[in-house]
Amino acid sequence: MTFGTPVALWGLTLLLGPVLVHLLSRRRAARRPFPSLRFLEATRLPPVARRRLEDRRLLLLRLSMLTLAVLALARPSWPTAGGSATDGLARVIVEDTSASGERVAIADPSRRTVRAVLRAQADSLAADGGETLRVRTHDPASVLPAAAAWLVARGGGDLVVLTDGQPGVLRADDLAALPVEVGVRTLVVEPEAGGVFPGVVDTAPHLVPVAGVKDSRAFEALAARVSALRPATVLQLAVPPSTPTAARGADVVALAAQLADLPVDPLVRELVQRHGWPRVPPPAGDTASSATSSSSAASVNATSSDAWPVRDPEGRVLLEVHSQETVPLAVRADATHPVTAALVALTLERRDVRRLPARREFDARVVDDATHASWQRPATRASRRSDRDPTSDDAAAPPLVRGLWALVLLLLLAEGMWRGRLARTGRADVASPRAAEGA
Amino acid sequence: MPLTVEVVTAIRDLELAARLIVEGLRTGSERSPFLGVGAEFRQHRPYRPGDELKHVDWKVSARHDRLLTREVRETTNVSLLLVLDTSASMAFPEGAHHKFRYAQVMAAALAWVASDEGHAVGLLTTTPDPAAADGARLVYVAPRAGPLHRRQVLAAIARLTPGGAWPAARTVQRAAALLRRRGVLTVLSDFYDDDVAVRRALREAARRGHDVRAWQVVAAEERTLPSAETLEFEDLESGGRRLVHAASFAPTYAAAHAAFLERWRTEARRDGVAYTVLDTRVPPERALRAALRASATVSDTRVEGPA
Repeated sequence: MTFGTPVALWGLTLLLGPVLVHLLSRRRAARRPFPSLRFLEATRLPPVARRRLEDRRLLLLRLSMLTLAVLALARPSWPTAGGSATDGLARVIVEDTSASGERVAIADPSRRTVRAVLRAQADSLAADGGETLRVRTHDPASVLPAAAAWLVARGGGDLVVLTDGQPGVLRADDLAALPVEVGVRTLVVEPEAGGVFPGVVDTAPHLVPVAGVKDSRAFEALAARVSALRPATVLQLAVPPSTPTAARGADVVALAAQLADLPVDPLVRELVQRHGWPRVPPPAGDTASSATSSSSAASVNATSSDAWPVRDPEGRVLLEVHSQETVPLAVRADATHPVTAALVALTLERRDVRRLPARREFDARVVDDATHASWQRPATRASRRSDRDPTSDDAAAPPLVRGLWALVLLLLLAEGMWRGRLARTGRADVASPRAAEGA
Repeated sequence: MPLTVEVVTAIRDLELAARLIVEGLRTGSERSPFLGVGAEFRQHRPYRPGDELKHVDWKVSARHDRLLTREVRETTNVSLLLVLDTSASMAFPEGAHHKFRYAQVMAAALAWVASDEGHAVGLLTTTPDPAAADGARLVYVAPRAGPLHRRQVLAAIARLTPGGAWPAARTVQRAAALLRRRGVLTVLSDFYDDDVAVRRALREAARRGHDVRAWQVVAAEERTLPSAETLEFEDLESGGRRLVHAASFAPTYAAAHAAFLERWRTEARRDGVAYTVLDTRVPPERALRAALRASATVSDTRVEGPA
């Protein structure tokens, strides 16, 4: 139940009044004229149960009357299913639980992880009131039809998808398939660039099908596909914990050697000829978060044995392959550059890199930026009802409030009648004037 | 037509009410003499014109086929002094049929009976007077015989209204003093005021030789407490108030009141005072008959004793 005027609830303090009156007052006894008091002793009034009970009932009556009046003033409203005019609309909150539990959400002052921020957003949305269905899923796309059906059954509503915005979480076709009564809003919480590049996205359930392409044109196509990935996509490749360190050491060397050869790969050279080298941002951090720049500086300097860089001829790191779970492949250069894309593809082709087992299945489909951008805009909803602020004053009071006032009036009447009855039975007649006797 | 209390007390003309009662009394088979010792029968003598027809003994006349009158020994004509309690406590219960009205009617009836038998009737009572010493002024009608005087007495009784306090003992003492020779002193009161002193005054009056009759007027409504939970009782005379839980106190009160009446009865008997309770529910003629009979018993015993 929500209240239109919650400040009126302060009136509940007035409940103290009748209670005090009840405790402090004493019902006056009826006065009876009597010829003599000589036989009458002033008896100590026993705690008369009946009087107490009567008074208590009256007190209860008054208290309930006051409570109802206060409630009526506070204008409560019940969220009713099926379209009460002023109530909150139905809503489905879809929470993407595949979001990272480790990467920190971007621009979050409390430095919470993406998953935590999504959870918090979902919590606050759910607390808004109204009829809400909350769904937590790894795969939001799969629940969309059911959610839409639920909303339609309630006359339409909002579908809010909370996600970390990874391509493949929501697909354009899924959204297009939703009925028009369902308004879609996506809330994207991106993880911070934990590594070296602003906007490096952590979990990227993307798989670029890497096939052995020798043809540069095919590579271009492949590169286009890769570049269509969000900038600075990091492909998550997990290192199995069971890999013995010694073996890793050997692999590391081999991998490093292989990656060092990448730029001189004839395909790459051909792409370079055509497109030039991708631009590598200066390591002293030019973009947004200082945290990122400091961490990028850190990663440049502390290229540990867990990171294998791929450098351009000038020695600038174009991308790095990390063996940590969190930042397996970091792209330093312009990720939309075909050369970078090619390097990513080639890196993935490397046997040693591919040997690193992927954590998840990758989704082949790619979402373009336009679609993604459109998700970020609040959707305009074709609403069947006029948008009314539920808290605005209506000309006519809602039926609940009217019912409450009617009850208050009834109780007032009842109290008046009760008091009248008490007065009649409790009190004697007023002493009539002494009979003026005459003949 | 049986005269109910309500009917009689509703009759505004006191004289009419008294007459009705007395006639009701006379139609009874028993003669209710005013004085304890009834007129002693002396002889039957032939009817002389001028004799009152009521003295004709019809039964005997029928037997002897001529009119004979009962000749009674001339009983001494005594003075009857009526003392009426006009205190406020007599104005209970509220309404027209309160104790005082009943007492008025009974006093009037008694006056009629007495004067009918040739006795002198007087009245002594008090009436509230703010100018007087204790707020009450004595109203005295000296006892005299005769129908004219009787009417005067009845008019004086009718003029009375209850109110204020009543100097009970003093009034009784004054009445006893005013009755010069031995007379009949009848006090109609509820005896709430100063009852110990009143009893003493009555005792002394009786000792003096008067025929003292105490007729205590009791209303049914004051024998028990009204049924209600808690009541604040207000004294009609003093104005004092007392808060009583009527429901729980009722038995105590009823017992106390009954004990009060019983005490009066026993003490009156001991003092040689003819005592009757006049219950306001009892029809006046029946009450009067009973009262006169009760007085007769006492006077009988008294007459036998040393005069």
